[in-house]
Amino acid sequence: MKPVDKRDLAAGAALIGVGLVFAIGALQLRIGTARSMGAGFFPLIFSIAAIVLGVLVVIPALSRAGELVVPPWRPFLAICGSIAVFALVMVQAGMLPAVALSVCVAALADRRSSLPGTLLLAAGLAAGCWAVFVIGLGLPIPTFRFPF
Amino acid sequence: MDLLSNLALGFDVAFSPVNLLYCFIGVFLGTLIGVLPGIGALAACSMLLPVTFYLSPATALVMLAGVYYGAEYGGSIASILLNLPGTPSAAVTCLDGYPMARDGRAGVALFITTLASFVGSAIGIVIVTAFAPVLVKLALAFGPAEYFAIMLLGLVAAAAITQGSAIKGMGMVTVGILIGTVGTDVNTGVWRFTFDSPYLLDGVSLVALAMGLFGVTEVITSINDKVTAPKGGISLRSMLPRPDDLRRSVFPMLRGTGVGSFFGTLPGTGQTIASFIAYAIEKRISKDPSRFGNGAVEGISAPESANSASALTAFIPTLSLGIPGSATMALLLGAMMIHGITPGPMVIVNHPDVFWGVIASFWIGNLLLVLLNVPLIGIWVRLLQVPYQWLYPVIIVLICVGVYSINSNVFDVVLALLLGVAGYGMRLLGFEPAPLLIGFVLGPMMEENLRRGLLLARGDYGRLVMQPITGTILALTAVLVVWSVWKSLHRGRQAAEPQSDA
Repeated sequence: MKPVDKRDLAAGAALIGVGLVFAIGALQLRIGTARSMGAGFFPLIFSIAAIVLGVLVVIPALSRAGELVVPPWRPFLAICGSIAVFALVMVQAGMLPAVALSVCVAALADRRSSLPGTLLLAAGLAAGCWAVFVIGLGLPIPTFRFPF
Repeated sequence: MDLLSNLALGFDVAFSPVNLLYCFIGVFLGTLIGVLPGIGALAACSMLLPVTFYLSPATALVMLAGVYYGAEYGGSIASILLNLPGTPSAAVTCLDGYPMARDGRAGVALFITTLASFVGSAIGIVIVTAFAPVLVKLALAFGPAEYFAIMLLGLVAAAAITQGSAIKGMGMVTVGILIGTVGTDVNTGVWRFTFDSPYLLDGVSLVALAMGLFGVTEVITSINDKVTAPKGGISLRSMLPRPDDLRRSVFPMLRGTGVGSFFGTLPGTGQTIASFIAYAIEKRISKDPSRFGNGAVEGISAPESANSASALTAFIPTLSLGIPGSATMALLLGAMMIHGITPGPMVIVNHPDVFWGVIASFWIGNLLLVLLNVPLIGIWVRLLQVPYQWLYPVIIVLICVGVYSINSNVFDVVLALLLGVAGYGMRLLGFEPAPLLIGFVLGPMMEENLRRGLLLARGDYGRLVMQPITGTILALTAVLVVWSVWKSLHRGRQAAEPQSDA
């Protein structure tokens, strides 16, 4: 089989995919005419542009070699997890536990983190956020409530 | 409008105690965040954007200007000491800054950076003041069709100069425009691409987008990079340049300022291209080009002054036409819109205090930078020595709380997470996020102007294109598109372009 540029192939496919999603969405809106543009007119133009550009990325990728380098998953998963945890705990129990727990999850991203250090950082940051955002800036953020 | 009275008004606004205080806070926080490895000026500005929502428009923009400068400088500290550029324009500073640091002259490199940046902005402000009124007259002659055309040109130019493939850059611009259409259509009231979620009615939040694409993505990438901190501190004494360094820097600074001022005024191009070209010119005209890359002081002073000068002159298209010269400018535009100021030529007429105040505060921000950072440099260097595993959880928490605080709503945090995942994927696929942000900010304005332009032309595309200014700009855009597509395809046949790390 001929070598292909996997990274650009995936990149072009992603662009075409985004274009298709928006094109399908735009076609369900009123397109209208040039004289009176409907809600779908403008998105349709640019979703077609995205598809065309995606094809232009794919074509040269078919005739050259290239690798898609995927770095370790650990930092990616830990950081995403820590933001998700923040969002979940924030709704249920307020900012203080949300900050502390998201720090603990984020620490998993780096093998060099230690448990005592992480706990200290979690406590310190929760206190710091409370001091800066609630006391200092006076933002209306729920600090703590029992989740049950 | 009189040149001096405009400047006087600007300095009046910028020197008011409140604005001076926030400019100072902005510079301080900007440096603090910008110095963190892997976090550039754009990430710093988006992290501090929510804080400015509670301020008056002029104060908010003054503070953001301070953040911008601080973060740029903080970025150069990281570039010079760690060889880790946070922004593409700082990458140029690495070329000669890092070799100087290895020679034990990091202090001098940092001082020259500040000085060059100050010179660039001091001259840049004069140019802005002189040319802004002329541009306003021109801008007022623009109709919707002309606006649409020049925005399109700006977007294509922004895509064409990205480090990677121009086609991918244009792809990012288009995706940005498409994301910009999410929400309620202002003309028909129809919900577009909202998935019937009430949270998306106002569209995708700019802060969530910027934080996701630049904050979250950059944190994940820098953990992967395993940053190691340098040893040793920097004393005030080590920052003193030799007379020789200063003498060598005078003309490069002036040339850099000239180059920067010119490229800053072109919509769509920006600091990156200005600093690269300034560096290239110095290398070309130097009697001994081999010194470059081995710690030549001109290699810092020319691009740094070009960078600052273009940051100032980029305000001409940003504030008068509403067309950002760079992603950072796009963010500033977004901040203006959040404060209810519609970017465009009327800003100078309707909000002279904002316009001139921001221009003046760019200069003051730079002055504060010198005053603040010469004594504080030791602290920033020490901050760089804090192990990264202590720093990144702080950044993540700041992002979460910052995004949450905009609407007191967890939905935006989830959105930032999703956009961060998308941004990380984009980076792996060799897409740069900056053009996306520019497209996102400009998209809604483009749609509005296209709609009006077509209405005035009675739906006749021929009539739209036949107008002299519109036609010329559109032809120029078409040439640029064809040229960059051809260039990308041609280069693509030879080899895959190297992975860019903007």
